[in-house]
Formats: sequence, C-alpha cells, structure tokens
Amino acid sequence: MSKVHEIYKAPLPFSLAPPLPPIIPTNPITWIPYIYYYLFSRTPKQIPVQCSVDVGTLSCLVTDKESIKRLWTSGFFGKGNLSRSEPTWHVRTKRSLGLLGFDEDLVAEEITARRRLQRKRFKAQRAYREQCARQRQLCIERGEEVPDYLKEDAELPKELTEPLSSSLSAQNPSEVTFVPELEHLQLTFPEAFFLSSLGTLVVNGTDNFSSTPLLHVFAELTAKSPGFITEIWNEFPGTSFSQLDPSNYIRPDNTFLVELAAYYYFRQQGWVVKGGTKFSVDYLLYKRGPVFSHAELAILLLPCIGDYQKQNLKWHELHCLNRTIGQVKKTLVLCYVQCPAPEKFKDLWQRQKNMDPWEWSKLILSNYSIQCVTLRRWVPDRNRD
Amino acid sequence: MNKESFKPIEVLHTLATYPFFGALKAVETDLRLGQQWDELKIHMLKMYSEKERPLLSGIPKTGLLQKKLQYVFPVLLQETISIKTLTAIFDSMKKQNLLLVQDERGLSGKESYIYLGIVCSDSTVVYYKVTDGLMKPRQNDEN
Repeated sequence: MSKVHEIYKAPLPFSLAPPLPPIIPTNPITWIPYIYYYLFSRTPKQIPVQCSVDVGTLSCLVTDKESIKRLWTSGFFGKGNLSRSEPTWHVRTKRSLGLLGFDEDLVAEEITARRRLQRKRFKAQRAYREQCARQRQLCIERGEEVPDYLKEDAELPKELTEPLSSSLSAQNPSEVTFVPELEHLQLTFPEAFFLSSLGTLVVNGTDNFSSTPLLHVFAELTAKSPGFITEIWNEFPGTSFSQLDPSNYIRPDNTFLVELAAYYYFRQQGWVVKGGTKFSVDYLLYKRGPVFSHAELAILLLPCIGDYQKQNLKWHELHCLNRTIGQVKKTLVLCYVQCPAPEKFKDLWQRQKNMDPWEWSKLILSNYSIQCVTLRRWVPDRNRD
Repeated sequence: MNKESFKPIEVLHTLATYPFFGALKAVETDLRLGQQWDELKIHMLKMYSEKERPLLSGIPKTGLLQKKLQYVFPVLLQETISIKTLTAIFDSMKKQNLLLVQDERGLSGKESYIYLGIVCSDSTVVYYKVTDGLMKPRQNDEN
C-alpha cells in the first residue's frame, strides 16, 4: 500500500524546488543550500512534455513512454486509448501471447479479471455443493442410501478444481515474437490546456499554433467538430468556415470553454477530474486518484448564458440519472456554468490581438463562474435525519 | 492475433480526409487491438440523401459473441443520433445487400441489430446494441 503512496506522491507534474542534499542539523555546512534557496528562491524551469493534436477526436496524444509515465503518476492526467485508465495494452497483449509470465507484473485490468474468475469459480462450487445437499436430502426422504459422490466430503468434479491459469492460458497460433508499442496516452482539451498553462506541456499540431492562443485554437476546433457542425450550418447556410470569422461560431457556451471552466474549478480544489461517460455524466471526481479510491462525485455540466439554459433535464431524465449514480454509490452534482453574455463575450474575444495570450486566456476564464448543486434521493419514512 | 493485426486495415488511410475519420479510426483501433476482433472490413453506407458514413464489420474473439459476424457504427459522443440516422443505417444495409445479423431475442425473429461505437475525447469507446424492432423481455434465469 505504501508503494502506491510513494509512486503517486506528486499531485501535479510540476516541480516546485530543485532536489536538495540531505540536511544534518549539527553540521552548519549542510544548511547552506537551504538558506540560499530560502533567500533566492525561484521556481525551477519545467521540462515540458510533447504532444500532438488529433482533430478528429478533439484530443492531444502523447507517445513518449517516459512522458506518459510522468503525466500519469503526477496527477493522473490522460488515459491510455486501449486500456481502462493507465496505458497497459503492451503488457496485457504480451501476456496473452505467452511472451510474459503468468504472474509477472500484473496490471489493474488483469487483477480485476482474475478476481472475477475466482468469484465465478467460488459461486460455481457453492452451487454444486448446494445441489448435492438437496439430492442428499431427497435420498434420505426416500429412504435410499446416499451414494458416495453425493456425500458431504466428496470430491468436487474436475472442472471446478482445475487451476484458473488454464482458462487464462496464452494463445499464440501465429507465433508472434514481438509486440510494438501501439498505445498512446490521450489528453482531453481541458487537460491539455491545464498542463500547458503550468508549462508542463507543449502542444504541436496544425498551423498557426505559435501565433494563436491555445484557448482560441481548442475552442475553434471544438466548434468545428462534425458533431457540432450542423448547428452552425443551420445558422449560416451555404458558407464555408474560411469565410466565417471565428467569433461568429465560437459561442460563450462553447463546449470546450464550459468544460475548461469546470475542469479548472475542480482541479484547483485538489480533485482529480476524469471523464464520466461510463456513468452518463460529464466528469468524475476522485479525492486523490483512481488508484486510491472510487470516484465520489459525478458531475453534470449545465451551461447557462444569463438566464438561458441551452440544455435542461426533464424530471424523468434527472430521476433516472440520480438513480443510476446512487446505484454505484456516487453523489450527483449538477454544475451550473455561468457563461458571459454574447455581446460581452464578443468584446472579450476581440481583445485577443492586444493582450499576451495567457493573460487573455485568464481574462476569458475569469468571466465564467460555477455553481454546484448536490442531489440525493430522500425518502421521508426511511431517513430519520 | 498475428503480425497483420498490428497495422490498421488497408482501406482506413483512404478515408483520412473524411469528416468522421476520428471516430472511425478510434473504433477500428479499439476493435483490432483492444477487443482483438478478426477480419475487420469497412462498408460505406449511403445514408438517404446525406453524405456517406462508414460501418465496420468483424468477427469477435471467443466470448459471449460466439465468433459470428458483428457490425459496429462509429459515432462521436457530441453527435445527436436521431431515428432518421438509425433507420438510414438499417435501410442502407438492406439496400447494399450486407449480410444482416439477426437478434435471437427479437419479437418476430427477423429483427437485425448493430452496435454503436461511441467515441469520447478521452479515448473511451462505449458500445451500445441497437435492434431495429421490439425485443422479447429477458427471462429471469438468463445471465
């Protein structure tokens, strides 16, 4: 358990101080580095991680193994595209092809799979014993002698006692000897922007990256994505994107901006924020990380411009969602993201030309505010509080 | 799994400029490497009068899907899937004479089904089964 605490020590991939030599209280010479850094402290320069934009899935991809490890172990950023959370496809594939031992360096998915098999085996054994007990009872009632195989201490059939490793055995009919590294770490746009603002990530990709602020690039890519395009086509029929000024189709409730505002809000409070699609919500919040405990909160984002809410829930949708979240022992939180009014937003967007990119991004974000409402089902005659 | 499984299927790169390529690539990669399906193929469906959309077909590894041909339609999470889209998929499949997979729990026994592969930007792919018709209710003793 302490190994986990050691590996996932750092909350963010950001080093606050350079590593200092050990201090010995009785030897004044060892005090000198500490005094020096106390008087002349400067945040060390961060070594950024490289990533590239994937426009088709609105994400950023990291392929370097060391970078992936660094991003995952300090703050649980990103997700392996072929794994449940941390990229483990390489190890699992090698094991399924027999290129890795049965119990060597097990990863999360394999531990879960084995546990499930053990439980299934245990249930099968229990069901068999219960059936034997029933048949024994019938024999006794009929006054017959209980046969040997039905007796209480009889042996279980072979299928229920053979080792579990046989059902997880490796299969390599084509005799593959080498498995390439085909998995990458995928970061969502809010994650990539957050890391970039810390100086830990450099986003490489399409043209005009150096001149345009990252916030603008991500908002534009999101607005132009095929999923959202029909809205814009309906409003500006017949035009192509090159003719339109971005401020015409980047709305205050642009999905990227709303998600970013909420992401920043929760990350600043120390939560680890991950995607919540599997529970039909937007975000899942972990107290320290997926490795330590299950997610406590399930966040649903509801963007509002002034009093207007683009998407609202009908009573049965909210009820259904609340039941689903309650069933998995999480708490539903409705997160209302208050976006600036369209005129103000347009004005703020124009200021891009005169401001430093990060100052401008800060200005845009500061105009978004968050209000959270927690929902819990309450039955008057069950709960006494 | 063999050496060929480590490379995307030939046809894939020809669709690179296509609008829904991101979703198609993510689902193809997950089926080929993550779920280890065999014999993956892409079929282009002419969805009523709209632009064409790809449909993936393949044979799953052993497990609950019993090594039968299955279809997966890649979709992005932010898309709205209307009844029009779903009927367009089934009608295009019939028109283009694709071998339909029948749902054994269908009411008349002739309903076919596909899977929707919903791609999220954090790389999660969620699969949903869509049957074009009513299904018989599940019996209590079925898993």
